[in-house]
Amino acid sequence: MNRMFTIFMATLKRNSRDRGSLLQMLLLPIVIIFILGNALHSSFTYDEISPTNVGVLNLDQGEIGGYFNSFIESDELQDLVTVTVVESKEEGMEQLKRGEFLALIELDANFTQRVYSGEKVAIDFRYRPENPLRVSIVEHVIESFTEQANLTQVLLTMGATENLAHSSQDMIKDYPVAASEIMPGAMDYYAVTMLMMIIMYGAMYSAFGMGESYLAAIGNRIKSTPVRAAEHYGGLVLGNVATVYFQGLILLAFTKYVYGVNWGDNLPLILIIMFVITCVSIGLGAMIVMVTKDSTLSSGILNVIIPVFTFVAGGYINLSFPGKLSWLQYISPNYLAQTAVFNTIYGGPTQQTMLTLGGLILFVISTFTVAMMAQRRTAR
Amino acid sequence: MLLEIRGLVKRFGDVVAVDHVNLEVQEGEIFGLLGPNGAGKTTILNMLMGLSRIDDGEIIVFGKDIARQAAVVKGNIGIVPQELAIYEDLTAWENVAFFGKLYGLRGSELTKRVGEALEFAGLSDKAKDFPRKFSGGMKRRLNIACAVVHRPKLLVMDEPTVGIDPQSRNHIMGAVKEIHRQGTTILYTSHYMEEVEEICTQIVIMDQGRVIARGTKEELTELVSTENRLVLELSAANFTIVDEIKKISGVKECAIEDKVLTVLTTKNNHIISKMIDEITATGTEVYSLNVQKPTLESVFLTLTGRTLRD
Ligand SMILES: Nc1ncnc2c1ncn2[C@@H]1O[C@H](COP(=O)(O)OP(=O)(O)OP(=O)(O)O)[C@@H](O)[C@H]1O
Ligand SMILES: [Mg+2]
Repeated sequence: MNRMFTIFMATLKRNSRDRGSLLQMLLLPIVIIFILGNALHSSFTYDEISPTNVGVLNLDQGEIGGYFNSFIESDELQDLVTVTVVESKEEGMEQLKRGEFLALIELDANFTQRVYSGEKVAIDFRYRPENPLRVSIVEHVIESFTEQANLTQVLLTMGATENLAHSSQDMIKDYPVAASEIMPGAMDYYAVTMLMMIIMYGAMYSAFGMGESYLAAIGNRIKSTPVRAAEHYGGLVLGNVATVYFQGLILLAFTKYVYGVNWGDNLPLILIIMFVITCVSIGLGAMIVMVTKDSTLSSGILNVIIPVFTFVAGGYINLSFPGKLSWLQYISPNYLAQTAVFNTIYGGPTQQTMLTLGGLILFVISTFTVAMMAQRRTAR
Repeated sequence: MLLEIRGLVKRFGDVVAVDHVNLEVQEGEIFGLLGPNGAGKTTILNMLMGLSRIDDGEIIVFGKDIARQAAVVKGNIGIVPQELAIYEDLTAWENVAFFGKLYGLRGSELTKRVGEALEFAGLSDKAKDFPRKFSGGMKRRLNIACAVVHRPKLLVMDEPTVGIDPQSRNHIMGAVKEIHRQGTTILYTSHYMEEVEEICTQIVIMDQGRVIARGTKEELTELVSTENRLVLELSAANFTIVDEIKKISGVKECAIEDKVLTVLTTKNNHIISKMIDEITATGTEVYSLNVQKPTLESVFLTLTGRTLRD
């Protein structure tokens, strides 16, 4: 442990002295976020983002089902969602699969009855995964309705039967769906994507650091001391993870307090996601250098794949791939991490956040496995 | 026996880099491992340090098999790698302290040892400087300081003087003798004959993975040389003397060019005095006499038909 700590500290110290990399990792993104955030601001104003297509299957013939119809088609929501009414579940699923809308909202036949009987209700919806931001908008819309429904239920139990008569317009006024809370502005958007890109570029630290301190002359010298291979490898990996994570924290703090970027209310979860993507980045760099045994070649490879990951993730320009190609985004760790972060900030589906986090952790495990196998297989 | 290597073999594809090598290093020796480029020296050291798998044979250090007790063994060895292995972005002090910590030194003990190691390498006044500003020789010396910080029982040096200025080289040769005097056993690898001749008590000569000769310096030169080359500077060019000298028993060859007489003899010191008698009898004076004893260089030449540095 002591020896691992020695290697960890030396790695941190050396990285902190590497001014060139520090500038690239800190100053560069701060400038880029500022430029992209302002230059592309107009394309990000909320009313220019087209409404999201949703399908609604309303099987509830009761009072609240009626409210829902007028709610979802109210003027206030026209900028956010375009509703297609479907008649059956099969029809709805078919259209969802074809990509005709992004989400299918379903109110079951007993919805009103359940609310009146005092049950806490939620509205089901299915979505296509390719555009988490839009999905989070839909979720917000539904939530603001179910909150009303559940409030109604509370009022009912208090005996306020008559109050149920208040109009759907009132509901929306009471619980406005504020655009700034459910969608990022340009600055908010690029702060997240550029942070993910920069963390991915942290892989350079492991490509060069591990190349030098694990494989090259110094690496051999360290192996000639009584240090165990796991301590050696672990110290280097953790030193680089700490370096890049710390840089990520600085960027997060800077964009939050200087640029006023919205990082949401759940900072601990954002920090966890940041930690996982940092491990992905360092693991990726370590894997590539362990396989190629060549730091320069590794950095060349990283210089190709990281921009691709970032592009595919919509890091430079917000893009979504058409239905059949949407899987493409999932090969990008940036995309997974971004999705998790946006979901956390803008209240997207928690399940999806956990899935993407799980995917990233799998990625970390596989990079380290491959790195270890490459290390063992080397003809020495 | 401090280090024992038995039947060591290492192959890289078709190349047999180390071919059934046996070595025995006694405690207190400066053991020279001599050989030209590609002889297999570094490969042996890599196997010793556990960096390279052993294809066949075994290495026993301090009575322990390195394959089984690597950690204990490594803690008592200091290695000066052939290729510089220091961090350019850590100061000289931090470099030595880094390796000191990896060898388990802590606290005041560490501080003291690091200071000693830097002094040993003649870098005390450069402790706070970064090696990227160092000359090649200074880097080499720092490379050595990192290997002695934990006072190893066995110091392994792989061509520690490659490509450096004479001053640093002298410092290193002095330092090796000094650390040997303090009781450290040294395994010294080189392809410089002069160095090995100067410091080593036991020498093994390797070529193409095989040991081709071993012994003390004297034993080795004895092994191959049955002749001395004498070079005499005379007061005048005297051609008649050549025939006279050729008559002396033990003289194999004799030639004169201008005033310089070159004589090839068997190893017999009486020949020299007889020769001088013959020359002075003719009235010619001998201004200087140079006996060229065989060197390790000539040993290698004799054994392989090649010079060391080709
Ligand atoms: N990793 C390797 N892969 C393939 N061949 C190797 C490897 N390492 C060494 N060799 C070969 O093994 C032989 C011995 O090399 P080695 O480095 O041990 O020589 P050396 O005596 O240290 O030479 P030098 O004086 O140049 O350092 C050479 O033919 C070399 O090409
Ligand atoms: Mg060598």
